[in-house]
Amino acid sequence: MAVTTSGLFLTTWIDIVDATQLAIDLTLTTHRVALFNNTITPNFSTDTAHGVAPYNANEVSGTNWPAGGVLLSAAAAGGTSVAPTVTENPTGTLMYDWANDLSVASTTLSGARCALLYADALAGNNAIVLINFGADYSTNNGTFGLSPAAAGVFTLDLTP
Amino acid sequence: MAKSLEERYEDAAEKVRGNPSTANRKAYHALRDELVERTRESRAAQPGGAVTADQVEVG
Repeated sequence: MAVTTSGLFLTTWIDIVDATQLAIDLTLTTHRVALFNNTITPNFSTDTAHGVAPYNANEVSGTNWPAGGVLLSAAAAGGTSVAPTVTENPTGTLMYDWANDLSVASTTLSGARCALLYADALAGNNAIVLINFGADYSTNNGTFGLSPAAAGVFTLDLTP
Repeated sequence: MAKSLEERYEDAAEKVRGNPSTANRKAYHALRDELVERTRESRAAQPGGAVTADQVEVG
């Protein structure tokens, strides 16, 4: 039982492009980032949403980081937006990125192992992507930050 | 007070959601590209990515 990798959720992504036409707009700032500890075991083929197993327990929350997570609109320094973008980078690859790092000040959190980005504005709270930190992170009245790599939060190679 | 680049970008996104016309999309993508370029420059200026003990590099 552990978080071993980052990934995109197949159920959600299939619903986006099939007859379901799930309305995921990656540039919305109404999505939330929720933290979980290493007790959960993600299944990218079957997991569906925040609030549904395994994301209905073992959530990490604390001072200035509520259960349910923080909105992207207020997740950058000073309570501003991370400003999500979707671009082609590199050629043939779709990249989802944040123009500003996630940075939430004065948090007290214990044992965060991964972050779940989900569509809070949709009734289904659909899971979009899970980011594995590779280790447990805690803060004590400190800033909790996530800095996307040069390749963004995730990429989809559409021309492999 | 003048709006930040992020605010102008998000305003443009709202406009596209309401009316995805060619003009609106063009303006939106221009602001997006400006924001992406600024991000690229900002990250390039951070030696080693500036990851701190309570900061995780993702992606």
